[in-house]
Amino acid sequence: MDAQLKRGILEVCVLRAIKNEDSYGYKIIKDMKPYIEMSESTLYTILKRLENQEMITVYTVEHNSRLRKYYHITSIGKNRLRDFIEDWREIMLIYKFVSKEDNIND
Amino acid sequence: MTKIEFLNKLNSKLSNFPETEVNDRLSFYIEMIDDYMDEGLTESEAVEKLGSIDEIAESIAGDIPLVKIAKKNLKTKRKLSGLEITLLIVGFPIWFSLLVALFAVVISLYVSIWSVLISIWACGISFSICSLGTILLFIVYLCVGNVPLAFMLLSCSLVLFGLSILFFLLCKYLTIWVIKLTNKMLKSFKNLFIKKEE
Repeated sequence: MDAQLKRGILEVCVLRAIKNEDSYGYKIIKDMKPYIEMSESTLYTILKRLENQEMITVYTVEHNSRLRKYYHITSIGKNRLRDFIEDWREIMLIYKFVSKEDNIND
Repeated sequence: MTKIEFLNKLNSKLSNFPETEVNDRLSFYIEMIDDYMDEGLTESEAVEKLGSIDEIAESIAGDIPLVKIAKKNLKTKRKLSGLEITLLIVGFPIWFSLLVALFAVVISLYVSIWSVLISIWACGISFSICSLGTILLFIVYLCVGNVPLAFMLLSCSLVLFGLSILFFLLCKYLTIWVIKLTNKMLKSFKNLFIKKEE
């Protein structure tokens, strides 16, 4: 897959993973696993990028006497998710047209 | 490998990279390892899950902008002794000129790659302009009534047009290749800063 496209898709996947409730690194990877495999290093890079774009905010919580970083989606992040779904609705229509089996007469 | 060993190894490999970025990374990996262990993995299994240290170091090098790496490495980490300073000053004409020469060679190689590319682009453009010119001449000679010459010019124009298409295709592939090469060079240059194990 094209690197730029894949990066965009992974960003959206991470946003989706924290959309309903704030989450932390390990849980994000676990929740995404049935759909897309992602290494810890990749997740770090994507979280940093999302943070720079103000799509997520980070806060620290104490857990089992150690610190854990939680990620929270912002309204910009939610907009990004909405745009992605809108865009892909169109792209899926185009996909249907492009991948349509040819008729015998063609 | 234990968590501490993993972190120490990664940290020593990344000693040429900006500390704040590296520490932020390391705390991220610590949290990951702890969470894996909470889920029931042993310490060494949790460390293994993160992948090889070399791969991690390379991905970190790829993420950190070159400017930040340069800034970190331009600061000397220790005070130079008097002898070293004297040697640096005395040897200045030698090491400085060598350094400049090295940079000049690298840059000129890179520039020459681009100039080859630009010249091929220029060929493509000139072929297409010539093709247009001969088409015009074809019309002129056709109007004048010199039919054999006119058709010779038409065939020339078609050949030139074909050549220009070939050159533009070649240019397209070469340009993509050079851009990929640039990215690769940048990546391997950054990887130079990853410390090798002693």
